[in-house]
Formats: sequence, C-alpha cells, structure tokens
Amino acid sequence: MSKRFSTKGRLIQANKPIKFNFNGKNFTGYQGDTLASALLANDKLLLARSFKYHRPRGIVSSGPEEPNFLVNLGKGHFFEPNQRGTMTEIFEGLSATSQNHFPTLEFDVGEINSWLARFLPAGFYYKMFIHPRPFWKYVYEPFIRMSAGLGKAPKVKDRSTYEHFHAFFDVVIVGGGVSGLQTALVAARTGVKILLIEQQSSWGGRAQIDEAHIDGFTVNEWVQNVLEELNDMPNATLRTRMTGAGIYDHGYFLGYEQLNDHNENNDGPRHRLWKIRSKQIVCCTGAIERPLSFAGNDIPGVLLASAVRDYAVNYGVSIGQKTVVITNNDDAYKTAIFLKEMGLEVPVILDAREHGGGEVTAKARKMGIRVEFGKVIAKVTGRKRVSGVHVCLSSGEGETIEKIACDAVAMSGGWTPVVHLWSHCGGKLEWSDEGSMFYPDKSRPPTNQNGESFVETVGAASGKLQLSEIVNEATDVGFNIAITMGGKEIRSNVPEVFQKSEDPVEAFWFSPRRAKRKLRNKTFLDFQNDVKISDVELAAREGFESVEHLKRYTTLGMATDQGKLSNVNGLAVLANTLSSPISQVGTTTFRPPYTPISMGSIAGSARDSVFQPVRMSPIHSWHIENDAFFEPVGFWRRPYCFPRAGEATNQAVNREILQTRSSVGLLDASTLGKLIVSGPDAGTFLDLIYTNMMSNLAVGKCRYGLMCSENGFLIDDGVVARIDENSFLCHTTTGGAERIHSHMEEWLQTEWWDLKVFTQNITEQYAQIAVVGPNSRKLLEKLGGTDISQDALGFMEWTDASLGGYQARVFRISFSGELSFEISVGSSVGLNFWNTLLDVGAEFDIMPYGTEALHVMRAEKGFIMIGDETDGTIIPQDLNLDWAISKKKNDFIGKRALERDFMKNPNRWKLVGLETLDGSVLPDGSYAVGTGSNANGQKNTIGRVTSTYFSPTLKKGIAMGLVHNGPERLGEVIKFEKVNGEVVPTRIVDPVFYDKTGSKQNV
Amino acid sequence: MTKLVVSKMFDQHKTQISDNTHYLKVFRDMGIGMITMRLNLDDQVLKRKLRHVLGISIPPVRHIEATTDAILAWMSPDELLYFCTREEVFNRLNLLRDSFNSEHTLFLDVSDARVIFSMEGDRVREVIAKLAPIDTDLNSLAVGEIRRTRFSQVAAAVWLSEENRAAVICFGSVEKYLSDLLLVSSKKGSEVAD
Repeated sequence: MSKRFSTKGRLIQANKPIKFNFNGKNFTGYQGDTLASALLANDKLLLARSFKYHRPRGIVSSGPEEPNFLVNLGKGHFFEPNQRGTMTEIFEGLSATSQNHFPTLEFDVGEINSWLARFLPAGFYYKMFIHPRPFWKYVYEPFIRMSAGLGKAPKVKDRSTYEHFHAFFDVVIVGGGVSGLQTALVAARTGVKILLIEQQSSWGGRAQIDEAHIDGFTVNEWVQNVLEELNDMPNATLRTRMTGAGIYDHGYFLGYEQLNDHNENNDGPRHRLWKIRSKQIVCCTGAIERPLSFAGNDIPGVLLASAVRDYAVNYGVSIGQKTVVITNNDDAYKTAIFLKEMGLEVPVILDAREHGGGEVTAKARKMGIRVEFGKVIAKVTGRKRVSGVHVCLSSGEGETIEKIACDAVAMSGGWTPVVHLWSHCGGKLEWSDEGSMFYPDKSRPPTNQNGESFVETVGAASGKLQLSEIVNEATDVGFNIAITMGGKEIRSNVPEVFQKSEDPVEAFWFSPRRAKRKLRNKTFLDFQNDVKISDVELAAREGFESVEHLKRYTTLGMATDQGKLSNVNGLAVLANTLSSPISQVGTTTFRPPYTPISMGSIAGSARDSVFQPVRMSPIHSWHIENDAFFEPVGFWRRPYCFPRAGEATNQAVNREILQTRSSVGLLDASTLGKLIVSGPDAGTFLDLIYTNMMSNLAVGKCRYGLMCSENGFLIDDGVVARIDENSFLCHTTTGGAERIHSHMEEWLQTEWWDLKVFTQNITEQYAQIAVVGPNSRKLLEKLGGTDISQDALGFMEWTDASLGGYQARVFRISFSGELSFEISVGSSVGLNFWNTLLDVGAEFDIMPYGTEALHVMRAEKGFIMIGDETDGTIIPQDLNLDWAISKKKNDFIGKRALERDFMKNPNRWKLVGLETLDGSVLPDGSYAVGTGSNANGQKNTIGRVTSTYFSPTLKKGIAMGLVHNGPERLGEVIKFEKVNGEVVPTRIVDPVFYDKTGSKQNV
Repeated sequence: MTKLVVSKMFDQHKTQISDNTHYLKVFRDMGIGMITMRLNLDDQVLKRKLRHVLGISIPPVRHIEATTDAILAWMSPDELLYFCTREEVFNRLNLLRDSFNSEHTLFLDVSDARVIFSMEGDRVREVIAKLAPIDTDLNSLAVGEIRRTRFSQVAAAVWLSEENRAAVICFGSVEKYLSDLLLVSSKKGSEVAD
C-alpha cells in the first residue's frame, strides 16, 4: 500500500492539515501536498482510466509530464477539466473528480475495450469507420463521442477572472532549478533586467532531492542563499507558478501564471498570461525521466523512479512497501537507496546493463540490496495494482526466470532534456548515442530578426545531467548573455560542487530486447493515448514511416501531454522497426504551448462588458432608455427600430416610415464616417480617390461620390461637402470610416506623397442628426436661427448655422427622398440637441426612426447601399451609376480596371427594381432561374435579389436586384425561386419606386 | 523623480469612477479641449513659428511638453495634439488658423472626438502594462513621454505626467469600453508586483 512516512516530507507543513474531496469522498492532506501526493498518502493508487482501452491507471510521474492523472478540477463556476493532479496544489475545500470512465473509476464498463484490444490496432478508427458511409453520422460518431474524450466541458459560466500582462526584459530564464538560479544570479549581478520563472510553487528543482553540496552548502541552503540575493536586486523579477508556454519570433515569449488555481477563494485573477518581449531567453527547463517499455508497465504502482523518490523526499509518501527498481542508468539507484534508508523493502534492482553502474551500485550492494545486472522485467502482474514482476534476461525473449512479489515498481529509462522551448522557434536537435537523448544543437539555435541566436539552454535541458557541468554552463551562459545585453563586467565564480559520480546510461528501448509478440502487445509507449509497441510496429509495416505520419496514425504523442514521456521511446521503436538510426527518424515538431494553458488566460480580461469594444454614438444612452432594438454595424450598435409597447419590430418600422413620409422623423446618423481632406492639393487628391469630379465642387455645395478599388470594384460612397478652398468633408458609410481613411492615407503615403494633403478622421467629433420629412423645415424654423429656406439653402448645399442656440452645420441632403436636413453639432451637445428636436417636434408627432426604416426608404427611392447592392464584385456601371464616372479626368483609382473586357462585358447583370406580381416580399438573396442547366446540373440563373423589403408607403413588397440585361427588360416577368422550390413571378421595373421626379426632396 | 509642470485643467473637472475596490484612483477628465495639428515637423521654420504662436516648446518624438495652461503632445511626424481648457479652444483655433493661413497646415477641434481618463496611484505603470503592449519600465516610458498604442482592443495614447499619475486618451465612441477596462484591470487582488 502507499502511505505517508511519519517523518513527512520536505515540502509538507505537517501542522497544517487540509481537507479535500476526490470523487465524492473526503480526504485529508497537508499544506504543500499536490493532489497526487495527498491521494497517494491515502493509499489511492487507481486514479484514472486510459483513453482507449479504459485500463486502470495510476500516477506515473511527479510533474507536468503526467499522462494519466488528469482531473476535473473544482465544481460549478470554478470547474476546469484536464488538470494534472501532479501539479495541482491542494487547498481547503478542493474538489476534484477523475475523468474518462463510466460509470465509476473502480468499475468501468469501457474496460471491455481492453479485452478487445487485438481488434483495436493502430489505425483502427480510420479502417473501421469509413464503411458504410452513413454509419459515421448516425452510429459511429455518437457512440465515439460518448465513450471518448478526456475531461468534461464546463456547464456553467466561469466565475474566475483572467488577465494579460505585457512585460519587457533583457533576459528571461525559464526554470527555477539550480541551473536557472545560477544563470539568473550571474546575469542579474551584471545589472541587466531579468525575469526568472518557475512552474512549481517552490524553487530549487530536483537537485534538492539528492545528496549534493554546492559551495559547501546543501543544495537547499544554496537555493535559499541565491533567492535571498536575487530578491534584493531591483533588476530581477522572480515568479513561481509560472510556466514558459511558448517562444515565438522576435523574442516574443508567453508566460502562463497560475495565480489562484491553488485557492479558489482568493481575490484576483486565476491565471495571468504574460506577453513578454525578451532580448534573450534561457531555457533551464531540466529533463524528464523516460519510462521503460515492458509488459504491464501501465499498471497502477509502476512509476518513474524519480517520481517515487520525489514523493518520498518531498511529500513523505511511499508508493509501496516492496519496490522493485528497474533501470538502465545510475540515477534510479538513488531511489532504491532512499527507500531502503527509510526502512522500506527493495527486493531487487534490475539493471539492464550487463555490467551495472558506478559508485551507487556499490553503495546499494553494501546496504544489502540485491542488484541484478543484465536482467529486466518480462512482465508486471496485477490488474488494479502491481502484485509482482516476472524477471527475465535483458537480451532474451522474455522467458521468466524468477517471480518476485512486490507492490510497486520504480522504472528509469534515462533522461530526456526538455527541449520544447528551444525548438519552438526553430532550434535544432542532435542525437547523442552516448546519452541516449536528443539535446539542443547549439550551432543551430533559434535566430532573431538579426539572424542572431536568441534562445539558450542550460543544464539538463542542454543534456548535461551532472551538477558540476550544470553550474559551469549556467555561470558561463549567464555572464556571456548579460554582457551582450550591455551588462557590467561583473564575473561570478563557478560554484564548487560535490556530488557522487555516475556511470553512463545504456540505450535500452524495450524489455527484454527480443520480447515476444505477446509481451509487446502489453507494453505501453504512450499511456495517455494507449499506444503500444505493437501499434508502432504495425504502423511502420503499413508504411507510416515518417515520424509525423506515425504520430497521426497511432496517436503517439498526441493530446494534453504531447508525448512528454512517450516520444523518444516511440521514436526508438520506430527506428528499430525501420532499422535506421534514431537520429535519422527525428522528432515530431514541438509547438507551443509547452503544457496546456487555459482558454480563460488567452481571452484575458475580455469578457462581459469588455469582451469587445462597443462603439456608442453620443445619443446611445437615449436609445437604450427608449428600448431601441439594436443591430451591430461594424463595432457600433445602431437602433434598428424603436418598438413601442406591444409592437413587433416590423410594425415599428412601418410606423416610423409612415410618420417620416407624412410629417417628420429623426435619425441618429452620427456613426457615418466624416473625413476632413485638406490642403492645396485636396481637390486633385479627391479627383483621384473618387470616380467623379470633386475639384470643381463649389464651396457650400455637396456632391454624391463613389469610390472604387484599384480593381474597379465599388468600395464606398457618400456625400462630399466643400468646406473652403482647401478643405473637403467626405462622408463615408458607417463601416467605412476607418477603412477609407486608411485607404486615403495609404495612397497619400505610398503613391502620391508629393501631394500637399492632410486627412483627418473626425467622425466622433460630431453628433449628426437627420431631420427628415415634409415638416422638417417647419420644425427647424421653430428652433429659430439661421435661414434655411429653399432660397437660402438649396438641395445639395450646406451651411454653418445657429439653430435654437446650437452651433451647427446643416447639410441639405436626402437619403430618403424627403425634404431632409442632416445637422451636425458637437458630440458633447448631441444628446441635448436630439432632445430639443424631440420637444419642438412634438406638435408634428416627431419620432425617431432606425436603420431599417432608413433602408426601406432608400430602397423606395432606388438608392443603393454599399454592402447590399455591392459585394466586392460590383462596379458602378452594374448599378447604372455611369453618370458618376468622370470621363474628363485623366485618372482615378479603378479607371484602368474598368476598361477590362470583363468589366465592359454587356452580359454583366445590372440593377433593376423588382415587383412581385402578388405583392409579396421576395426572399433576400434569392435567384431568378433561366432556362436549362449548367455543367453541374444546376439551374441556370439570370439574376439575384440584393435588397428586398415591405414598403408601407406602397403597401407591397419591393426589391432591387441584379438581372442579366435587366434595364432592357423593363416590364418583363421573370421567376425567382424560394428555398422550398416555389417560384415567384416578378416584374422587372424601374428601381425608383417613389417620387421618380425627386420633387419631394427639392422643395 | 521628474515631475512635469502640468496645467491645473486636469484637476478642475474630473470625476472619480473608481471606488475602494480598486487599487488605483481612476478619473474621467472633463472640460479639456483638444486641437489636432497637422504640419510638417521637419520644417524648422514652421516649428519655430508654432512655438512662438502657442508659447510652448514643440515636443521631440514621443514626448509631451507642458506649461501651466496647456500640453502639447507629439503624435506622428506630421501631427501634434494640443490640450487646453475647452473655453480656450475657439480662440486658439482661430489664432492658429490666422497665423498659418499661408502654410500647409490643418487645425481641427477634436475636443468632442476624444475622451481623457487619468489614473493615480503607485501602480499606474502596472495597470498600463496589463492593457497596452508597451514597455512601461521607468527607463522606457519616462515621465513626459507619450505612447500612441492600444489599450486592449482600442486605439489609445498614454503618458505619465508624474511617477504615479497617468493620462489615457481614446476615441469618444469607446469611452465606456475604456472606462470598464481601466476599472477591471485595477481591481484589488489583481496587483502584479509583490
């Protein structure tokens, strides 16, 4: 059984017990425990079910590489799936559940897959679910969705908050072990600005586990000394619980800080995503121990030897009373020795090497531990936990030569440097036969914008596993990097290290070397994805020889752990099957993030009211108070209509239109873009920007203009007013203000930089209110002030005015066909002016109208709308706007494009009005069908609807559309098809339905 | 610490929008007028003339200049932003237009187009760094420097007028967004540094 020693552990505060809940049962742990260590201390070993076969699984590791022990952490508003129990610190009231089982962890019906394993080989899903086709949607997918998946999706809104933080450093050092601390210290002493981060809650890394001395101190004491010095330096920032998630181009670095995962009741954000720019990044990310591959290596109770030691030293937890150790290197001996010292049994150390190891082997033997060279595990027995091992010769086929009873197995297959961050931005790896590892090739580092290296590695991450090598490299790298960053030449000594020497690891990829098929079928490479040796071999035989293909086919190295434990073993098996060297097989691509980061941290604070900026006009508050029904227009929210009590939106729209057409209505047009174009060359410039002539516009006049892209397609329209000799005010569409401003600036800055023109976007300086309808002038005259009679202010003219005491600019323009004034006042008085108009207009039953009424009224008049009649493929001629294309001008943007054959083609569909014979409203976007069908068997089309509304003025449906030879076919009836296949006979008519002569707007 | 001479106008019409759940004081500054100036800042004659007309030095790249009743901010190689009281805008605008009527310049009242917030407290740099992708280190964003940048998803400009005091301007239509952003980011409990 697993339990806690009476002496507790290095990180445990024995006087602070903590109650928590796992799978509905209450447990007690201590401050400092992880969920993993606390459950192990309570003899909970079976903690998960595997993904594919639902095999019982236990904890394998003690760190972020854990493939098995994933939990649904927290409940309700704090819920988060797929959290690694080995990294989750316990806190009072913590609640977690295991994942991936049905109905319970102890009894999982999915385990039947385990018995069916021989029918579920690599590629099973690809082979099986392809036939018969319809089965996928109705049978296979629903079934797979139910049985697969790791954590649950949260059901309620996340209560936690998240945020981003931008930071800049000279050097970021990732990893707070001995290598990171020494690098940081050496660099910081030179005065450069550094950040040192550590993913766990405490500093020092794994070196503290073992017996060693640095500068005469224990590792632990040395760590405290270094921290003390660093904490006093203003140029050093130190953060724990922060993971280096990714390295990107230009020294961009993502740090994932988990502030409150260990306490759901704390104030403040749960996670903070640090977006860092750093000139140099040093990865002191250590190494991860590899499992060994033998049959039954996934049974609960089989752990990495380092993890067994971590749990014992850090948390005072023993995994078993009788632990068999299997290894191909010296490091695992330390686990055996420590367990023995704690009074636990170690029946045998199985060393795959024919000649065993160095000093530690001798020490183990001296302590009375049985050590066997050249012998390994043939298979582990037990189901929900280890009951014993069968021993065989390491070079054999797996014939059992001895059975040994035990309740735990500590395995070590050597160490894999954590090279993920090094690789994210293109750092290359080299294979070392001697160390059996991929390590960073420092001659091919990730390079920055100057082609210089910007990522370094130190210590175990470099493949250096001995403490003396580590401090050497750290001192070197820390100083050299700091100097290139402009640090002072303050050198630090290389600390003196005392540590027992170790013999080299020996490559040993599966146990035994010539294992029989039966054993290979039970030997797991990837615990998280249930990939066995036999799967990799099968994939290789089927031709999936590239390591990237192997990954996709077998799922080796996928999912949340991304193969931190399994990759190298898998590659080795693949290399062996292909009879090629491991270095040639290579690794899969390392991509950020290093470990999963939360969606919340990516969103940061962007939720609720700051999810997205909502642009508000100066009159927005009035719209809200008056129950406007809003629609998004760009980032703005504009009132679609203003429904009154009991009114449907279409009723409100009809009411607003009838009122405006018969008396007067108000529109908040503040969102329309307003660009000032000013300078001696402003006229010349606008002649180039617009298709029609603007330079000859008289001061005080307005002109409607069109803009095309350089390909001749319509991009925007609006009214231009000439303010003075040098200045124009260009109105754009609501969504077009920023876009057109950028368009103008781009041409000015890149092509016509010699023109003396300034452009300025002043959209938000003004509230612009359209006063529309036959009574509009009467209303404004009631306000008093400037004369706005037809004689003083004609159609398409503007004037600066004083109206009811408001300083205003009045434009006599109309988008509705009615007598209409667009009045702009300063935004700060916009709301007051709006209210004044409503008060004064009460006698005319004045009411505001929204964007839908605006749309209907412009459609009644046959005015086009950018985005309705245009879709990026429409040229002015398609909309019969030839009159707005100047023939006098030498050039304008789009001129040459409009000369292309395709643009001149008489077969282009053209704008017409459409009137259904039965008066119904055509569905938006519907197509008119012609005769015959095209090559794909689809009916030929001859036109489509671009705008369609019910006109309350005309009491029938009206529409505009683009129709083949449309203008020549006025009066003809064509057929539009509905989605249900019904056909609507529709007559082609003039697009101007209302007041064709324009007499109403010009009075 | 450097302290700029800052006009009193920033104190006259400000409304505190933060409360005791925030670790900074956040204000909305009203009553400040703004004039956008477009002119070629490489033209030394123009610059001298402008300094003479306004009685304020022309700030170098990414800096602001302040007098007791005005601030002038560098915005781009051909743009400055001038702050004065709202009452003064009309006169200053006319003065500028009259003085430069023969040169290629543009002066516009943008007082209503933009809004100003200010923040006070020991951690203003920190709150800026949560929202803007700029280096807020003392050596990078010194007192009196201005940055045109973004605050989360909207364009904004920011400067420190004293070590513990920052001003942020954004477009008027996103006033609510920026004010919510500043408040969310300065909630007690979310302090970054120890």
